[in-house]
Amino acid sequence: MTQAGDPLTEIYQLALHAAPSGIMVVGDRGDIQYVNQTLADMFGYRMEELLGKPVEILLPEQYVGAHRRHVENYALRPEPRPMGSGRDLEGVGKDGRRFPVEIGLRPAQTESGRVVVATVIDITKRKAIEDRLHQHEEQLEELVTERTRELRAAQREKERVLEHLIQAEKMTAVGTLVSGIGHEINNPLYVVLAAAEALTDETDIGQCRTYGHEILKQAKNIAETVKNLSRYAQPGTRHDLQRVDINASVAGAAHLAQRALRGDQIEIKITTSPAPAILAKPEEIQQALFNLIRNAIQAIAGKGRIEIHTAQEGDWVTVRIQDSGAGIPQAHLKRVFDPFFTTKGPDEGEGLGLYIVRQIVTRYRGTIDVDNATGGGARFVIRFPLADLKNAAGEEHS
Amino acid sequence: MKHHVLVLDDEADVRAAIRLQLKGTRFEILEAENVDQAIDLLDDNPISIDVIICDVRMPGKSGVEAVAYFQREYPTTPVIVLTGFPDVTLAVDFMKKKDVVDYLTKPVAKDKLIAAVEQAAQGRKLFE
Repeated sequence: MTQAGDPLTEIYQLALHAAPSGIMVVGDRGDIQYVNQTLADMFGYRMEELLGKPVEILLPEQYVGAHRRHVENYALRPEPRPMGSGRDLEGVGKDGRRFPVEIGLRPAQTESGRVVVATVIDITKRKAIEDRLHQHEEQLEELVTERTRELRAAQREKERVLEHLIQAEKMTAVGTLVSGIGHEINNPLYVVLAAAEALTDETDIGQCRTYGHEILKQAKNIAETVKNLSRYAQPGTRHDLQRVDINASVAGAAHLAQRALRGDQIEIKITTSPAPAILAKPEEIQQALFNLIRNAIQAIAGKGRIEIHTAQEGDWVTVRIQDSGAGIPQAHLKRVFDPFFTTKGPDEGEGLGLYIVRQIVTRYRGTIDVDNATGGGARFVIRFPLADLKNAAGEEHS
Repeated sequence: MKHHVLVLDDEADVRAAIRLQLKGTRFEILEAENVDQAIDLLDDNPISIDVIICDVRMPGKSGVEAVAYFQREYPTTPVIVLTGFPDVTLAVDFMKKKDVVDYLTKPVAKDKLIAAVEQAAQGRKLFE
């Protein structure tokens, strides 16, 4: 295949030997007809050692059988095959050292028959880099997985703490209510006691009946107060959604808030319109309304007025609660529903009141908005979908 | 001889209950539904009031303000606090300053109220 003395051939030879890839020509029977210097060096042979040898001496033993079949198949349908067509191939050097190679094949026809020109690249270094890269990728993936796990755990912890604080906030509110409501129970209870005492000494039947009626009236007062309180204080004890009359909830929450929170100097004006029921847990609606009214009372700090207005607007039941306080600074408007956002002192709650309101409202597919009224005070608007429209939402909420 | 008790409580039912419990005793009841009314009654007729029974939580001026006024203007008139909103801190505060002679919580039994009013009235007598 080579002819010494031909200057052009010599140049070709020099060029071939200088090529960075190993080049070899293999005959139809798998015999090596030519190798360049690069290929001989790659496999640790002298060039002449390889000429005439079966190409399989350059392959690890376990590939030999498979390689023969490849050669036969390739001979049947010879076509150029690019380098690195995806398979991990290995070569074996004279010293038995195995190393990864990439092989490209190109069939050619010569005067002496059909041959295949094979280009061979030792990809040991590339493989090592790829392996390292792969390792790094795996490590990175592991890190990402671990970090994700940590983040999830942190998120879960955060949610747990938040849930805990919400519960604590509720309990604080219940505590305030209980001591505040004590007044509401103790006063009528005192009247009951005095009337009962008088009753035991009374001989006049007419007077006895008067005392009896008084006791009845006061006992009913107490029962009503306790009912309002328990509606607030036992969230989550009832699991069924009910048709809730928003007007009754507003009245109950306003009654509780005014009596329990020393809101004596605050006038609460409620304007109701006949509104269809919404589907919810009544205690949660009452809690949301209570928190909003409490917020308004705290915003007023002294003498003032709270206006509550209920209405049906299209498919929604709306409640507007407007106070005569100083309003909410523009910069705070977007943040008032954030957990722990508070402008109050450290003893006045965790800043979860409005967050809880928003949670409850959105749970029932409602919306809540806040802005400042023209008069200056804050105005909260909550909207709930009508009960008859939201059966699907109700089923989801368990 | 009749003695006079000024009852200051915003709730008519409660004032009626006190009146009922003190019925048949030597005490005659004067009623005030807010602090200003109580002050007017005292200022118009200072000598005849022997004991003041005073609520704490009331609309407008609170019982705390009222007690401070009584102490300043009528230091010899004994004040009994009768509240439905028991507040330990407030009770201790009242007692420390000796602004009130007794601190009762609603509901209070008839015997206990009469005893407290009697004791307060006698204390006044001794004090004078």
